[in-house]
Amino acid sequence: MIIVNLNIRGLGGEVKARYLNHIVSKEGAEFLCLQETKISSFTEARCYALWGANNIGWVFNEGINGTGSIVTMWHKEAFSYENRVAGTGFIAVLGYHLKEKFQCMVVNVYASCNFKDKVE
Amino acid sequence: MLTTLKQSYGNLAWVVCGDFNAVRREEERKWIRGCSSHKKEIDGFNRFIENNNLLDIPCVGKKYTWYKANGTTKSRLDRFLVSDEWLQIWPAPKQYIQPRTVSDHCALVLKSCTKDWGPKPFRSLDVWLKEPGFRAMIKEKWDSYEVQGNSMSVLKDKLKLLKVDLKMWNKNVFGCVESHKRRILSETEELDGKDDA
Repeated sequence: MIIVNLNIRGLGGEVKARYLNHIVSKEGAEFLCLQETKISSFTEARCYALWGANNIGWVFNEGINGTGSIVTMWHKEAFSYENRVAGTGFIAVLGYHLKEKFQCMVVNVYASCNFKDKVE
Repeated sequence: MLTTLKQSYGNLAWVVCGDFNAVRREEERKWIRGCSSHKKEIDGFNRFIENNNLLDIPCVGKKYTWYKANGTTKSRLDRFLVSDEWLQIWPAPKQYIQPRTVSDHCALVLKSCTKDWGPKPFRSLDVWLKEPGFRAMIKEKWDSYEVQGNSMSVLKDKLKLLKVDLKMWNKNVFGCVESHKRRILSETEELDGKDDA
């Protein structure tokens, strides 16, 4: 499985989308996990623009008070989505990896600077 | 909460990635003005990894994933962690730290190295050296190749040609050693069987 992970520090500007398009296609990514998107809602149009394709699924977690928003995206040809759990600072996506025919859990984490939160 | 989730889906292949805002070792964080790391943070993060039976993955590229804008601090805050079950399906994974571009964090790429093993090495068998005429054959073949170009590419091309000739020679002189061995073993088995009866 190929996963690209990045704390992007805000999704503003076209440059960031261009960079994500580039790295996703260069690496043949099946998953893209982003932290600190700094947006309050995530749309289909934005998802497709970031990946540069439209056969993409996603789960978005908006975080608290506009900080710590994270998103997990995947290519639907690689992964069949079954379920998810989202909590403070994480998204867990459960599904089936189609090529390896195996159930797996992909967890995207954004831990705050205060470690007490992380342990809990 | 993650720990509870991990316990209830423990038999699945897990991968946990992201910005943990914590490091596992002192050397994963570097300050220009030598403050010391928070031992509590390091211990807490390691305990989290251990309690959830997760494994750290070897890193390729740079040492750090985050650089403070004013250049005073750099750390490895981002990483991939996987479960044992994950390794069964995707063995020998590596995380590649990418150049820093659109953020003060670097992108990470998780890949398993199952597909591409890189260039194949030049292999030889010790037994060849004991075979009479081997050295003479090599010299004769090596001198017979006519290759143009600079000396490095001549060496490379000659090795390539030699590989083909060596393959042929090995087949003619030794045949397929493995199938030989199998045949002899089965003959021995058969004879032993007769003797036992």
